[in-house]
Amino acid sequence: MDARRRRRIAARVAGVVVAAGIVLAGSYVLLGTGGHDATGDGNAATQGDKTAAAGSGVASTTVARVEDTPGLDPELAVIAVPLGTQTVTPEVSGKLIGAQGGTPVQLGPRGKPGMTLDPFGSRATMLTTDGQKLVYHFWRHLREFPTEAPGDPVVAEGTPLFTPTIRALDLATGEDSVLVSGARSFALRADGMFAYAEGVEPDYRYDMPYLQRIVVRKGLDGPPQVWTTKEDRYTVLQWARGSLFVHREPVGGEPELLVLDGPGKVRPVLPHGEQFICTSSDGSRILTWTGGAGTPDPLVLHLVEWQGGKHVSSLTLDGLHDPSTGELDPGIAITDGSWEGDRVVVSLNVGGLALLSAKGDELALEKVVTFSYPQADLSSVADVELSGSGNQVFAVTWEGPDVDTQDHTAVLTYDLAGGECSRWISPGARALVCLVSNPSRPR
Amino acid sequence: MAGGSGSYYNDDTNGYLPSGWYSITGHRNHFDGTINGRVWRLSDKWDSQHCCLRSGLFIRREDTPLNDQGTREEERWDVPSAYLSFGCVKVSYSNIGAVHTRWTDYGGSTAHGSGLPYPLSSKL
Repeated sequence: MDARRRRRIAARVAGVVVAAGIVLAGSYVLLGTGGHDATGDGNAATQGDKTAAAGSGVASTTVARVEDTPGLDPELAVIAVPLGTQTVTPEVSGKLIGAQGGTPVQLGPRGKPGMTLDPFGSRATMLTTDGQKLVYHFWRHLREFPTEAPGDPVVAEGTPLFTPTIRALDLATGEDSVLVSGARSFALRADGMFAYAEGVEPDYRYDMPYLQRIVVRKGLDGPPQVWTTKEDRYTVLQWARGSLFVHREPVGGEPELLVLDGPGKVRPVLPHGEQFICTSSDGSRILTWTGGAGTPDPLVLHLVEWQGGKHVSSLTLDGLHDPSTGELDPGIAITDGSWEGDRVVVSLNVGGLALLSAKGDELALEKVVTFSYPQADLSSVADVELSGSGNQVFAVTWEGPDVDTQDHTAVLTYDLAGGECSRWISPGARALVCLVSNPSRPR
Repeated sequence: MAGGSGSYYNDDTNGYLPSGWYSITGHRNHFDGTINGRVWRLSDKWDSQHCCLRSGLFIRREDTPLNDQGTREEERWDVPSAYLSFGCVKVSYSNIGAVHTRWTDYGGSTAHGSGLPYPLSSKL
């Protein structure tokens, strides 16, 4: 499936006529309270057998017009990383824009080539609880990434190419310093607990898996304590109450959600094939998904009490059909999500957002939003965040001169009540923008 | 060419590998790991368009370690969902043999493993 092609997708929806965009019909399943909790091996979470009647479809809203704004929404801060064009790896690190309303701040050590992002996909970029420091990634660039093209320099397997670091910028003094060298992906808890994935070897070496261990400190400067028992490919996700969520990423396989309750206390909580999306405001529940991309099954969202692995309810998203084949689109995946109060937003890899309500034990699809303004790339809405009030959605989306070119990213602010959408693009060079936000819960 | 990234769904690539040259860093029959069967390991690749590092890349089918079809979804070729992946370029059930033949016909090695003569350069 070429997810980047702009197309009209017809969907089978009972009783609703929609002219364009993506339409998802939700069928609602309520799990009985008699369902037993999962055991610690993460394989036993089962669903009850009470099934409600399939719900009717919901209409989609297509945003065909956005209003460009010169300034970033005052609730947001971002890191903007210039996108390289001629060079294999970018030589200019990124800028912090929006924090404390000031002018953009250049990030990274002066004179050292590198980039202010984690190329293995962690989007962790956050302020400390007191708002005084920005904690961010900086991958120091040691040498040019090999092209493997005939005639170009040969780089042997195992050659160090990057040194991942985690840095802190003091917003008051401007001091920008290394917190940890040889580490990537991190989480900050409201009480200051700081967790990160430390490389067994500090550098990423060409064609070698970057194995790590999970380390936790009390405060940014506290003594480190290793919490994992095995070296592996990990990505730290967030804190949920007193526990740490981490992805273990086997080569060629799907990420596995692990919960770390303390040193040496590592456990999976989800069955094989179930993927984590986001966490409730109080940190007690998570939203997950199964099916969709890579499977012959429809995509199903699940509400899970992660401490015991108990699946509370689920919602099947079906009805997305490719009109050329009449078949259920097999490629739907959830790329990101955000949860505030009883409102949830998830982004879809085929484009658009699904807005959900999570009231009590009920999970319901409220609305689908797609973006069809001329520069939008329908397949690349990601990095979504609900505002603190839950009334706005912030989304980072790729844009380009045509449907097949992802040229730069933009930050969209969508008002859930009025339907207005504004857009902000980082001034200057084409840039990849990451939202500064802390997913750990509770705040 | 579409393939997974060895990373999350949210690396913004939608699975498409950057065009260019890759090394085949190893080839195995009967590979027994998270993925199984006949596999060719591709070199890591920098994706300059999305600023991400593509790793854990393989060319493979969905097989058992014995190179045949199993009962689990990840060891069974279910079209069209089987083409989607986390870190691999997928080859259909009926074409894996042809890929293997062409690999050797066009200069690829019949050696199994990850040492000499690998890595071998190839363009995708």
